[in-house]
Amino acid sequence: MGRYFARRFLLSLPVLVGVTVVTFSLMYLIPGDPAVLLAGPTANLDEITALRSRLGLDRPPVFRYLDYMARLVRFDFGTSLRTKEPVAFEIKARLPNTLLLASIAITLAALFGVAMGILAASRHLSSVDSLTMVFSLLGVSMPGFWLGLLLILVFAEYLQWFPVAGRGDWRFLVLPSITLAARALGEIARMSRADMLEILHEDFIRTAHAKGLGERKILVKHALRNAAIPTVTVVGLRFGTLLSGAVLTETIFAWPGVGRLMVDAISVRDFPVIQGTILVTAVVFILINLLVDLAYAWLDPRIRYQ
Amino acid sequence: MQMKISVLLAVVTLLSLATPGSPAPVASKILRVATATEPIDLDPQDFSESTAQSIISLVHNKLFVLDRQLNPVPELAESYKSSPDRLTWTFKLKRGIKFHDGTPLTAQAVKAIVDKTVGDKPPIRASFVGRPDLESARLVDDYTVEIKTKNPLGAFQRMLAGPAWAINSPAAYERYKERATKNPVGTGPYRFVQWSPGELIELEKNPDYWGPPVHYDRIVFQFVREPATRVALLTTGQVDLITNVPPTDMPRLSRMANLTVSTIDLNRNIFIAINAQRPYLSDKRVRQAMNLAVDKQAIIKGVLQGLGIEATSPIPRLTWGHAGVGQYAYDVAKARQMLAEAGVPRGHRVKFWVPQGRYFQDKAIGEAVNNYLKELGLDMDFQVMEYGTYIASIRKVRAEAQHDLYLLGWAATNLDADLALTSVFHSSEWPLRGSNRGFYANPRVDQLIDQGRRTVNPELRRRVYAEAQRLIWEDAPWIFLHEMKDVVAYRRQIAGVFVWPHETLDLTQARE
Repeated sequence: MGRYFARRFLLSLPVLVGVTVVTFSLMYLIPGDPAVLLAGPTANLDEITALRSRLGLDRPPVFRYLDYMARLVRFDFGTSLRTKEPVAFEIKARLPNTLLLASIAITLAALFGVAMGILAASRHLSSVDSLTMVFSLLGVSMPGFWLGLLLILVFAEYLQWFPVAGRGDWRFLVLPSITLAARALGEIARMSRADMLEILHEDFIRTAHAKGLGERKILVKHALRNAAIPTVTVVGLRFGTLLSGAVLTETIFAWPGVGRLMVDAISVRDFPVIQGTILVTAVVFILINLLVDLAYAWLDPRIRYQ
Repeated sequence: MQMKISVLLAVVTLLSLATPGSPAPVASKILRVATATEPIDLDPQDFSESTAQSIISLVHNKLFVLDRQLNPVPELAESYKSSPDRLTWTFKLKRGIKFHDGTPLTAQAVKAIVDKTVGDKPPIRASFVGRPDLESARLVDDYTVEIKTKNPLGAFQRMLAGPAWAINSPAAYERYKERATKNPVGTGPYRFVQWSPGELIELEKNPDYWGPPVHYDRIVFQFVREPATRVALLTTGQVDLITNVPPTDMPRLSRMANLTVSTIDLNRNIFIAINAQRPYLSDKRVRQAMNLAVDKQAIIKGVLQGLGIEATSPIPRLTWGHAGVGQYAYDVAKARQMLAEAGVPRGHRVKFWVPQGRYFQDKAIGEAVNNYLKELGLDMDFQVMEYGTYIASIRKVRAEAQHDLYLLGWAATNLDADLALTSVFHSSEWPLRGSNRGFYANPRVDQLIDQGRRTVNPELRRRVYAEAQRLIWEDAPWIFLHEMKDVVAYRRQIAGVFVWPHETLDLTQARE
């Protein structure tokens, strides 16, 4: 298991370097000069030239990349062109918020998604099955911003059960996590239902029935573990997307997260912040992939020896 | 699977322990404001966005302020005088005033603004401070400063009353260094407490304030970009005041007994600039025809839901020096005829660029104008761009400029005709230097703008600007559209909320 993990870990290092190269070169392909954007539409040439040299934008790209890497190995992500704060500070102020929301959302999605999947599969073609599948289809296809606004309207404005937006106690987490979880929940439900259905037709399940095992034991002990691998993949992938793709949810619920930071940075060409947020997201993604790989190995010991 | 879930739960628990998420402790009187934008900086000379302007106006004072009739009156200046040649101004400061960091307000703080502005690395707002005209500043004594200008300045007091002239503590610049823009220290009625990035800025009452007392103990600005969320925050009482109310929600909010909805006239023009260096567009008749072909009233009614006023001059009504000089009443037949007289072939191709999400309904306005110009018989090449790409694309020197038409807004934050005209109409302000990106040039207009800037007598100055406005209107370097309006809404119990035409929320007199 240890060797397996080490190999997986080492394999992800080149991916990281690749990310830095890609994000850095990307900056030269996007139109837009950050000095012009930061100075605002009223600035004149003197002001913009001064700003450009102040930001170091007049140096050749290769040097700027090498500088960037040299600082990166010391965990220095540079300084935001826009706010002039260290990028690490900007990310640190928001990453816990994003992780919190994403973790709750993925937990909700995994718990209810798998439960719904099992339920639907065990009552195949019944009304329970159709109902769960309609529900999960809604989750997958309903745009996040629309669901969010709907939840605000019903549960915050009309029923006044939860606050509209912002941060505070646990009640502030309810609506944004549901909004964020909906899509993943739908996907996980559909995925686990499909996998369960396939497994439930396997010979060993029939054998288990023949042995006289109880329905619940068969579902949970025999079927679920075998159906779990694709589901774990979806959970892992979705968690990664939740971390980077929560922009709309963050915007609607005024939630200070990394997604918003990244999009704002892109709109003003704040290169260091774009690089920093992409890098951090990539690292988290890679870590999640590692965890998913480990989960595979734990669920199916054959994988370790391949 | 069960184990996996319990691991996840553990992670969640740990994370929730690690997250601060602490709202401000409840004070006796607190005003919560939700704004659409978050400041980038809070350095008075280095900011570029209107929420910053609102916060700076609470934290800082200036030598002059505008009264509610928009005339400059002394604030921190005890007295002032100018030399006979109008090139040297001497200001005496009020004594016994302290910055929030405890250091006394002295003339050094005023000199620092001039030094910073005329230096090698000018701040972003340098032109609003008056960089082109400022020469130097000299300390006469601790409370007296002398400012020299390169030429007489008609709008000097008005400039000193602009948001960019807010006075920050020199000691704070020393202390916070490059983080000074995140830690504003002024002499104003509120002092800065904390800034949670992406979330909120909190201010508290300055107990030693030298001016009239303020009502609220704390003011919290929350940044909520989504308009529907701002509205819901207000209707549920989670915040007390919101800015940029979407017009679609106005009727509903107006009907609510516990809310006040208020519409404000802004000092911002929305226009479509015409590249006067392109074939046919260099002909004044063609540009006038474009003005006639656009039904401004229909756009205001249909696209802006009434939140606009048709422009009658190149500069907005609330800018000092404005003169209503004309109207291009919608007349497509006449416009077609003028186009034909100018020899524009039918189906002449025109490139029209529009930003998205920068100004209220910018894209929709662009689409409407585009259709009117199609009706005029032009073959329109219409492109909507994200603002970053957009501003880079229109900010090109003449030889590289690709645009025929582009949509933009313009506002002079000192509410003076000089700032409203110079950067957009003076021929010395072609890119990359300035913002005259339609490459408009009229030597007489240049002359008048220069003269207006240097004229001190207000009546004479008004006349000079009136003539400039008439000429520009006649030349039609823009399709003149409208002046913007904004809407704020707040709990009915709150009184004394004021919004300046330069989009600054003034809460100094807000009370319940």
